[in-house]
Amino acid sequence: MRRLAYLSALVLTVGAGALFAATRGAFEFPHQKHAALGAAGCESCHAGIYSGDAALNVSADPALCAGCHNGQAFPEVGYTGYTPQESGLKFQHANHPKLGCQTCHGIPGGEGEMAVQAASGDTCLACHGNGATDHFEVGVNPCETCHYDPAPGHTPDWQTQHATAAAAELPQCSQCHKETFCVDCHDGPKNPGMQYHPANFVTRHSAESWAAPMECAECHSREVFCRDCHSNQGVAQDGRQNGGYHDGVANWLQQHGAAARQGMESCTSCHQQTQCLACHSAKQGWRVNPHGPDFDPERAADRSTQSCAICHTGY
Amino acid sequence: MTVHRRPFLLFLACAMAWLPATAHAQGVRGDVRLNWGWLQLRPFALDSVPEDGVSGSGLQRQLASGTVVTCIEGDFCRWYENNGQRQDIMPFTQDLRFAGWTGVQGLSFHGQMRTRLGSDDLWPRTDQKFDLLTGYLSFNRTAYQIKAGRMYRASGLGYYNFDGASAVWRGLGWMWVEGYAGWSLARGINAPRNGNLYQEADLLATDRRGYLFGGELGFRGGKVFSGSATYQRELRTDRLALYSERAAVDLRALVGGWAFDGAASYDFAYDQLNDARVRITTPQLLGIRFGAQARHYTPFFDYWTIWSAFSPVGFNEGRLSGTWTSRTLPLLVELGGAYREYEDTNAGPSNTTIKKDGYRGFGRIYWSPDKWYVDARYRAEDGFGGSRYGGDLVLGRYLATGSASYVALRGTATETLYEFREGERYVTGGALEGSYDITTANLTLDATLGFYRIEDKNRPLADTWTEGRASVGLRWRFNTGGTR
Repeated sequence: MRRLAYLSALVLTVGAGALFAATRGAFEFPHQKHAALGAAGCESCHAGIYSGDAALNVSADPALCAGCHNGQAFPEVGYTGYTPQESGLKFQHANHPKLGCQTCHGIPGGEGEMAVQAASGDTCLACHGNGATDHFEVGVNPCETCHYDPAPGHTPDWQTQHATAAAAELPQCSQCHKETFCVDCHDGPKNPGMQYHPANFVTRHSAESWAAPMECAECHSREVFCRDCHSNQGVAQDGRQNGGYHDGVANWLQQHGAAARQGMESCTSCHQQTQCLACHSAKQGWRVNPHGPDFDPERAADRSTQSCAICHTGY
Repeated sequence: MTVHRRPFLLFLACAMAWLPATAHAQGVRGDVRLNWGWLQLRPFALDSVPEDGVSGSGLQRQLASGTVVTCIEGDFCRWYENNGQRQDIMPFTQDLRFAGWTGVQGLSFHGQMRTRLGSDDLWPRTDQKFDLLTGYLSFNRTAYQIKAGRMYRASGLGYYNFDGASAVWRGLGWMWVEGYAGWSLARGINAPRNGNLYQEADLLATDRRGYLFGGELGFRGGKVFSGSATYQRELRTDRLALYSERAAVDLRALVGGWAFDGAASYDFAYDQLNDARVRITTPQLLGIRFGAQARHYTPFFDYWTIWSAFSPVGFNEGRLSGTWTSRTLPLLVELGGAYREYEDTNAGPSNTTIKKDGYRGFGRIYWSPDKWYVDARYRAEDGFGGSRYGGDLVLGRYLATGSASYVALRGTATETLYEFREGERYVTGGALEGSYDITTANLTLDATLGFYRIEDKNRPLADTWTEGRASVGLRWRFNTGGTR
């Protein structure tokens, strides 16, 4: 745990520094200070935005600014143009001409054409989200309608790395995704056509199941799913052929303890509880104590005396 | 069939009551998916001979061929054997998913159901003919949402499904509170804990269903911060014991293109962090994005099992990854790796030295010039328990620019090593894959056909064979339009 703590501290420190650096120097044109320009209309600075000519660079031409900020009428400014941030959105202003600038950029309660701000994704979702009134939502339009692949924030490894975001921002997820979208993957053995795992993962899943980059039991019942197949294929206790799975180690039974504690999930994908209880029970067999030094029996018994009673009398 | 009558009938009655109105003026959308699969396995079969047909004595004896058999005095001697014969498995599933709007603003009904055919004992759960995966009514207003029926719930604790109700209040906009309760369903099988699936799989399976209840508090600070905390408890319906008591915290910040994630889940009975992680993802700069993650993982087991009392230990892992998306070429490159180290097992002396760590390396190159694409992936997992090295190479072509229809050829090669098992396995093969999207008819047809050569080296009694696999899928999307 200490290493994890150090690593976490390092990650957070680097992150905080990067965050500080990233938030410095961000340019944002003070529209409301230039309210007088509003009368000329947005296109006077953002020329071509509706026609699509300026679709890739919606910012104003620096020459326009320099027309006033020439050091005489107004102080000079160092604005040299704005490089748009990379975005995963396919949004084109030219595709939304009828909405008007204020619909997406207007500041609520602000007055005048120059009371504007950067558009929020929520504005898009009002029409394109899962709860949209007119059903522009998923199922009618695929994600690719609006998003390049990968979608913003959905990094290439998103499929396996989205757990925290999904938990922390579930209401946001549901803007685009219905519950059934999640069930497509989080439902254990499923349609043969689904491609969550690589092709023919069944014949090569062993290493991943030991390493647990994700929790297999999130979708697959260890008892029902894993054991069923392992028995049929002869690697489980009740389906073994001669040496079974542990034939690479002599006297496995006498020295499996460390491996069992490190890989308990894998053990349970083949072994029933009764098989372990043949030795690890206070009621019968060899009465080998399976509890580690940190095991707190009272704490466990507070939650489930029934599991204690499997091995111990008096519960 | 694992449908529970009360919630299902409630759902069905409500849905039926609203269907006429729905058909008249409201919208129903969804899809139907038909999937047929074919795969070959070589299952083991139990064989036996009378005891007097085997020489020797004791529990373990040998046939003349050398095969070890288990003999019970006065009974038969039994053994499992693989006679090399392939068996064709053909599971067939049909899914129906739908969401309908009732005409009452905010009220909708949702369902997802599945039937399974192909009653082979060799493919998990093909004996379960019908599943109601979800089926609930939802009343959704700006400030709150109420759902009742069979539903899934996603949180930092993972995915739990249950029959019951949930209510979310989000009146303040920046935060939400949710409470939920009902009869729990076992994860991954969508069935009660006391159902026949568990009873057949474990002699000590619990004999009671469970109540599930919990709550979540979440917040959102603009576009920058968000987080949630969840507490959940599952107990036997006779209230004699808990099946689980867990909590989770998840935090996320998105600032200037930087993403910061932190999450942890906690098991109250065994005082353990099950899955805790912190992660940073950088903004994309010159097409390059990096991610770093530190993680602690200890598996969680339900309290009706003895497994957590055996004191399983977890591992600590660091993970780094980077992707480069070319601005000028249709090219994506991904590289990454991870290293994990296990905690001390305190399991006492042993003559066998087991691996205490493991590493992972992975890479991907995706190149998609015009209608063509090449997807090459490699993955190496090396460490405790098992290792594998290998990858896939896919060459494909879309039938038209922007089309979802494609045809592709896949090649694959993998070597798998087992730490505690003799021998190593090589899997090599290829597949033809394709999908055809008939947009005008809302139909998508996809199919795969592959053959994989499976070779076990340095393993007694193992011979090389080729496994065939195929699948055909048909998806039809429907949408009657309308408004909610």
